[in-house]
Amino acid sequence: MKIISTTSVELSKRLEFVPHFSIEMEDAGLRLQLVSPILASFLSKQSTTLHRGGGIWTARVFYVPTKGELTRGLWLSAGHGYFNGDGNRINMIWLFDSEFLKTGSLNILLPEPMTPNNLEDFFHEASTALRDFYLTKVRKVKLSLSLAVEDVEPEEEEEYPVEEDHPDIEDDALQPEDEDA
Amino acid sequence: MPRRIDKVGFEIEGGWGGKPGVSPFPDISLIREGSINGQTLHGAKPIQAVHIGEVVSEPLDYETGKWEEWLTTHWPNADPPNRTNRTCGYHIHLSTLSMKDYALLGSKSFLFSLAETFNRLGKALDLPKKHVFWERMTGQNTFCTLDFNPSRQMQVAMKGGRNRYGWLNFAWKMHKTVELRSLPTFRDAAIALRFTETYFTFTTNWLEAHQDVKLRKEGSLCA
Repeated sequence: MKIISTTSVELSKRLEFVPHFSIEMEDAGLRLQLVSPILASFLSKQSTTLHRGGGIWTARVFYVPTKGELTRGLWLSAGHGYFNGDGNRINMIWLFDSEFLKTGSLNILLPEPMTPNNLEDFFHEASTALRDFYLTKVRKVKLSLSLAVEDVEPEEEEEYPVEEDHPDIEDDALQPEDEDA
Repeated sequence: MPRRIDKVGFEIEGGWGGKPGVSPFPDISLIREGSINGQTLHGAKPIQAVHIGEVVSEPLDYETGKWEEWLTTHWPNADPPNRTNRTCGYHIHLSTLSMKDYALLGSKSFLFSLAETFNRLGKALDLPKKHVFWERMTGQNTFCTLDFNPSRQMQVAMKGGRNRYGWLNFAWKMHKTVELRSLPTFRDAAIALRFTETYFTFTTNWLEAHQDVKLRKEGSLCA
C-alpha cells in the first residue's frame, strides 16, 4: 500500500521540476539565468564545501558578503587554478544569491563581454559542471525521495531511505519549506 | 545607420619637429617611448627628430568627427625620413555603445574580414611590397602578431606581458576598448586617415550586418 500524503504530493511536484539555465550576451552585459527550486532548496540546506575534484570543475557552496550581508552562493570555477580549457581565467561564473535560494530563480547581469567562442565554451563547461553537480548531489536526493514516495510502507519505522554520503541532506529535503508547498 | 562606435582614441609613435624641451602640442605632452629607438626590431634605424616618442589622445567622441582633426594635427611632422621607422606603431582604440557589439568583435570572422579589407586598401593605395604595413599584415612584427585570443586579452588588467601584442587587442579591463595594432605609423597622415576611416566604417557596417546573431545558449540540466 502506498501512502501519498499532502507533503509527498507537493514534494513530488517539486521534484518533477526540470532545472533550466541560459546565458545570453545582451547590450548591457552577460545575463545568467537559472530556474531550479530544488537546487535552491538543496543549497539552502548546505553549509559544506562540495568538490567534484578531478581538476576540471569545482562546484562549491560558499558564503559571499553582498551589500553588508552574508549570502550563500554557489561558485563554479574551472580547475587548474581556475582557468578554463582555453587558459582563460574565470573569476566568477555566477553566484546563487539569497534571492535564488528564496525563489529558485536566478537572474544576474554581469557587466562583462564574452566572445561568441567563449560563450559556447562557457556554456558547455558551466552546464556540464552544474549538471554533474545536480545529478551527483541533488538528484540523489531526488531519487531517494521519489523512491520514498512510492515505496513507503505504513509498517516501516524508517519511512525514507537514507543516502549514506549525504547524512545531512535527507532531513531537510524531506521537509519542504512552506513557500514550496 | 545606427551608432555602434562610442569613443575612439589614438596612440601614435614617431618623430616630431619643434623646439627642444617644449611639447610640440599645446594640448598634450609627448610620452617618451623606448620601443621606437631602433633597437627593438632588427633593421629599424633610429629616428632623429627633436621629439621622439608617443602621443596619446583622450577618448574622442566618434560621431562628432573631431577625431579626424585630432589625427591630422598630431601626426608626426619631423622631416619625412625621421617621422617613423619599422618599430613605430599606430594604434587605434574604439569602444562600442553595446557590450554585445564588443563581444561580437571578438569573432574571428571580424578579424579575417577586416584583414581582407586592409589588404585591398593597401593594394589600392599602391603601398610598396617592402612597406612595413605588409610586415604587420602578415604577422611578422613581434608587437603585432597574428595570435588571436580576445578572451584572454579581456582579462588583462594592467600593462605588461605579451598577450596584448596581437593584431587586435581586446583591452576590456584596462580601457573598455578594442585596440587595433596592425597599422604602422605611416609617413603620410592622409594614408593613416584613409585606413582609420576604413576601419571605423567597416566596423560599423560589420556590426550592423551581425545584429541578428544571437549570443545565447540555453538548456536543461537533466541530460
